[in-house]
Amino acid sequence: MTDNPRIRILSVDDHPLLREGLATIINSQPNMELVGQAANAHEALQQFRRLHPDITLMDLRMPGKSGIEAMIDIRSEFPDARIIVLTTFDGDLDVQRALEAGARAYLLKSMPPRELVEVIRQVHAGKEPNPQEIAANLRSNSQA
Amino acid sequence: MKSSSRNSNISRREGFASRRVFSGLALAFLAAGLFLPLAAANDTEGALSHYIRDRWGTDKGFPGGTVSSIAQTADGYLWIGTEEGLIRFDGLNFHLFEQATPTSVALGPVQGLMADAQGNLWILLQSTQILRYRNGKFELGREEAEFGITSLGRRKDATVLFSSLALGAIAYHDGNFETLTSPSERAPSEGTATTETDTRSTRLSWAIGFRPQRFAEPNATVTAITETSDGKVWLGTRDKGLFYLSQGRVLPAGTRFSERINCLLAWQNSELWIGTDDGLLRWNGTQITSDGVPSALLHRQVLSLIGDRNFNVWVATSEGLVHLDGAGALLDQDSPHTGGKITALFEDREGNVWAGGPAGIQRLHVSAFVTYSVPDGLPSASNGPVYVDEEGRTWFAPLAGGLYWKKGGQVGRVTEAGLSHDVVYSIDGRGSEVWVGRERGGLTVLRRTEGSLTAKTYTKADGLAQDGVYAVHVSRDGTVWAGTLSGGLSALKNGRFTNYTTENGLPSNSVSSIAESPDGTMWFATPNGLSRLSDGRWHVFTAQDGLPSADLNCVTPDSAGTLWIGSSAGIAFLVANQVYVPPGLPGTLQEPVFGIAEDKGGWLWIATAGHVVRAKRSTLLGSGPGVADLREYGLTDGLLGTEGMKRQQSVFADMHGYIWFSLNRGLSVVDPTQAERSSAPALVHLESISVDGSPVDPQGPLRISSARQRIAISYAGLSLSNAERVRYRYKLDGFDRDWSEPSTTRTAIYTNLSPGTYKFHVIASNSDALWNSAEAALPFAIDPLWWQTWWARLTAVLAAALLGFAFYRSRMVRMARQYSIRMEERVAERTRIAQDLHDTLLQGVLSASMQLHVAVDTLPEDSPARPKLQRTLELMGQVVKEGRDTLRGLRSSAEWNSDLQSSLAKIPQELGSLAEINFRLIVEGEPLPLRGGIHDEVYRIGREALANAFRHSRARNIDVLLEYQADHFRVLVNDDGCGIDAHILQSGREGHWGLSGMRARAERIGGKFRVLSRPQAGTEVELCVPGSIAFVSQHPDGLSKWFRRFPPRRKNMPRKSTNERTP
Repeated sequence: MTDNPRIRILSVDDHPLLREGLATIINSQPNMELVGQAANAHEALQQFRRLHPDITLMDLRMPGKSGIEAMIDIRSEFPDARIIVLTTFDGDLDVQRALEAGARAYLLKSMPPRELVEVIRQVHAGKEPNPQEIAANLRSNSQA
Repeated sequence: MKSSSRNSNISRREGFASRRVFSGLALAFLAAGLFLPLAAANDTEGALSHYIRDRWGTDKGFPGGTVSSIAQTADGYLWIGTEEGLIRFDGLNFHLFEQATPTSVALGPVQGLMADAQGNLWILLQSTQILRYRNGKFELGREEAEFGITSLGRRKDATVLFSSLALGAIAYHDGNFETLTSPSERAPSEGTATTETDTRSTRLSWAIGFRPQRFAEPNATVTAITETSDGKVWLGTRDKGLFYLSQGRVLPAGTRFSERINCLLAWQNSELWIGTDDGLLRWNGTQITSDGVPSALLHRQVLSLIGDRNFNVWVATSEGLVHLDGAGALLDQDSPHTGGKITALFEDREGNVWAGGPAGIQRLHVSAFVTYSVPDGLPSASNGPVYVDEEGRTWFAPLAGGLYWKKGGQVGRVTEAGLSHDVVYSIDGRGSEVWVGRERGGLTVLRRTEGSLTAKTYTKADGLAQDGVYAVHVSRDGTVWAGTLSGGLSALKNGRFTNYTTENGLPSNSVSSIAESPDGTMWFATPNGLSRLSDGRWHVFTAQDGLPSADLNCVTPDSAGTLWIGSSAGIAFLVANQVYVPPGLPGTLQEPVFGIAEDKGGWLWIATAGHVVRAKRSTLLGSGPGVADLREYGLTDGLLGTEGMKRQQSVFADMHGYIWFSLNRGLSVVDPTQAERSSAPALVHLESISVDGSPVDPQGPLRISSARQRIAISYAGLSLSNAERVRYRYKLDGFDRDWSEPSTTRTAIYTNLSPGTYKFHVIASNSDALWNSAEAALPFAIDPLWWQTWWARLTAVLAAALLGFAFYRSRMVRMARQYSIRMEERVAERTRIAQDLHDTLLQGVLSASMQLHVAVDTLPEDSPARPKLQRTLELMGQVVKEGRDTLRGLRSSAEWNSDLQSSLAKIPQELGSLAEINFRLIVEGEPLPLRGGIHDEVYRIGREALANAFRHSRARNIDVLLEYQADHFRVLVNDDGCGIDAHILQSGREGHWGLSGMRARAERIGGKFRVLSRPQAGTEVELCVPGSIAFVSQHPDGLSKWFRRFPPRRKNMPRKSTNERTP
């Protein structure tokens, strides 16, 4: 598959500051493009319908509908949607549930940006990030 | 008629003097002061008692009916039996008894009354029944005295005697009737002549009205019965004369006569007076005779007889009252007023004689004073000087002029020496001489020789200082002193006058009174002071010497030598040449004093300008007269006027000790011994008690419910002599602080008394202002209303206290609940705020970190800024980490939804310990949901303790125990490691092992925190939280919240333990 020159990303997070941070990271990459932002689950679905992004970054904790529910909503409409969940906390039960609900990967918000970008590339490339790696990530992050 | 066989045993002490009819005092309040008028047979001057008459007819409330008998009971009431029935009189009001309660007998006409010495009042009805009145209740005679009683009498021991048709004479003593007539004398029952009479059937036959065959002996209706001092019972009959009882046998006394005997009077020496329809008769011990009976009474119908305390006999006749004494019979000439007939007589305990007639009763009242005036033969009512000579002749001179004398009933005029045309100012005398001082004629001496008077007059021509002689005194040495109107003093001795004027030392040439002390000192009272002549030396006392006024009216020495001075400003006395005024004088003795005389009993009799007063001499000399030491006399005491006359001597004590007063109206004389005899005190008793208008039985303990509020107690003090003057004082113990002021009201009313016990006292004083100390008392109690009793009050107080306590507890519980709710809310809110803060903060920092990262990446590798910025990024990473951890802690209770054991169980995993440690989590008891705030703190404490164990203890086994009990929740973290140094345990190194932090957290949630550790032996950290604080309340609001259950319910919970081992 030919590399799309720009990966089209939709970020969903209720905190505007965090959205700004994500935007900075994404836009600093030449082959990524932030095509849209959403602040809640409802907006996320709307934006997805409109934009059809390649990757969706979904914050787990949001007021009203949670990130998992939003993900389920989107994937029920768009089964091919690739969604990466974002979380502040590791060891969150919800992470397990998110992964079981169809998230392709999870990201800690405190990860360094290059790791964040790397996971996005891998998911976009269709690779499933290794569960062991995830676990290792979990552990290494918890000891940080 | 003069009787030669006058009984010398009749005392002469009191009798009648002359009396005259006096009419016209209808003005006087209540008492129509009428004197008993009697034509004097001959009367002796020595007797001075005088009777004032008062009447009560239908106009004064007398219920009416001819009076048949009068009696007086020990409580003081006067009882009158009439055709209308039984009347009780208390001195003011009459009360007619219609029903003999509690019997059903209607009180019909009363035939006889007698009060015996045992407190009974016996009432003989015309129906021949006997009633006994005692303690307010009537009782019919029983047994022998049931029927057929015809007369009532008195035994010598003051018990009652009856005469019964069937049984003869019956006595009553201590509840038993005793027949005196022996059975053989009684009436035989029909058909039998045996002595065993069926007395009941005999009596019944009378009741039914059958004509009996025979009465008891003397077989005649007995109309009067009495007992003489020799023990003989006398029976007077209707038509068979007089009989007597001797050893049970009825014997005739004297010859039979057919006149009806109406009354019998037992007399001295076992004599008997017999009052019949045809005159008065006498039993002299052996026979019936008319000897000793005054002619006036020989054929009068005698209806009643009494003997008074002075051993006079009063005879009630169909034509009036007759008085018999040693001097003779005195007839009452007041008959036209009374309607004549007197049908009943009685002497009460105070010595008043009561006489009943067809239309009312009269009281003949002994008075202290006898007053003579125009009706007695005096020329005028107003007299000046008075003097009684040694023969007992009273000399007096009317104001208008002339000189008179009175002796016995005779009044004579002195015409000698022109005295009838001159005004006599003063009279004095010695022996058989009487000296008079005249207005114009100088000084005259009268001598009585052989029945005639000789007179000799001295005038100025003879050397007298002035022809107007105001005062005369004959001194013991024979000198005749004459004080003139304005010429000074003259002394006549041996026929020669020696004159003294102001030049000699007299304070004034006008002399108003002369007196001589027992030691011979002469005293002269003048308008300018008192002059003393002793041993030829003159001395003057004026107002400066203490006289209330220098204007003196009279001087009188008393038997002790004290000189009493009557001035125009009151009384004073002189002793040891010093003038004194008695302290505490009442107003009457501060009036002008006109005459003073001393009686033999230590009293001074004083005539002032408006009063006649008797004062106790010793109190005047001492501390002043008290209430009992002073008495005023007035119209009710027999005086006609009470104004003294200013003369040299208008009050005089004669040789008998009687005191003569010359007053504005009449010449009055008093026997001080008669006045001295104190009258019987008023008998006070309680008449009735009513509560809120309903009468209450005074007998028996009195308890009044507090709901009734008005208590009225009526009382009466009985003094029949002068009922209007009886005054009362009362006091209620428990309410009044002191006795009430004296008043005449006879009811005391109390309202709104509070519950408690009380005692009501009342005392009375009779007309002599004598407060008899015997009092009538009534104890009573007011029951409290139920809400006033002490136990009700106590219960109320307890209830209030309980209520207060309950309220307090309720508030406390409510407050605690509110507090805990608030605390939970606060905790929740705090958590929420913290979360929001952290979220926002965290997200912000994350964002900043991301952007910084990107920025740093754009920097060239060798840029000097790069390391600095890398450092910044690291710091931010730390901040994020810590913030994350904190936030995770904050979120645990609200959002994690995991229970304590799961969260604690995860801690080893989170801590990431690599060592080989056996970790166990044990749960005991049924897990109960913890309160939010508690959950957090417990988790933090547990986490800290576990972290300590994992990081520092180097233990091989670490256990966590969670114990759920109903009354407490316990967390125990146990390890077998190296233990904590004791020193650190106590000081609790801050921050490192967080011991103090854990303790603080534990205290904050109200739990107990304990650490046990020994080096090399392990460590045990325990947290214990009371159940009521730890657990969410399981029970609905109810009584359980009020009390802590002791002991707490212990649930038998199955043990459950989860073992988790971490690799």
